[in-house]
Amino acid sequence: MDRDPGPVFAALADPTRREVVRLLAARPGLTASALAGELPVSRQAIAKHLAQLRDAGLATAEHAGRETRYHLTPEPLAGAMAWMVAAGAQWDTRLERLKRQL
Amino acid sequence: MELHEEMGAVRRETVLDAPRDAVWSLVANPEGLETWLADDVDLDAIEPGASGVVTEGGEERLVTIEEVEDGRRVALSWCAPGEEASLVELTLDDAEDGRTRMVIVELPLVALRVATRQAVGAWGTAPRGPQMAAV
Repeated sequence: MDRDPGPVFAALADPTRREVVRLLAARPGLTASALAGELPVSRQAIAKHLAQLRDAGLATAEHAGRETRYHLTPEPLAGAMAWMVAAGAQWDTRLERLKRQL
Repeated sequence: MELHEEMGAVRRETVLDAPRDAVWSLVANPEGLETWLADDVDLDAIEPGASGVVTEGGEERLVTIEEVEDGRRVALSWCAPGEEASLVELTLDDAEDGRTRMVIVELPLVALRVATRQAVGAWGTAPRGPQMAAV
């Protein structure tokens, strides 16, 4: 648990941002316009969500000519997953101890 | 609630082979918690507002008891140095044959704050306790 998962959880707490993450995972390099075409929100809203994902280190922007393409950065997600796995393992251990007390 | 899984909460559910009051006695006081939750539970009492230190495997966490629903539920927040605080909720319910169902949820506070903000439409207008109850 050497990485703070807070910003990642905050970024993923929003359902639209989770959809954006899902789409970028399936199709790396989507633009904000392409994402807006897939989701029931405006391009401006998508741009805000992308900015938040970038702030959390979950996405990067690649400038290609006049377009900006977005890609996922897997490492922070892995950090959040690692927190969940570690915290879950601790609860498993605690529950085993509890069962031995009963 | 599926929100938990999506937001990255840890959830454990188990049925314990003991009546609820027996399990509660291991949840509702520091000595009881010391037998399973951590090696050392330095708290005066398990009551709202009580705070202290929980030590497990050499790692210390600052802990605050947030809510207690007698015989059923304890919510606490804890934080290891340099980590995001998380909220822990331990809930007991009667199961079949005199056994007890225990549900444990640990949720990073930052995820709860974001969800709360979306739910109420404004930062910090909802009290903390009922939000946890809703989780």
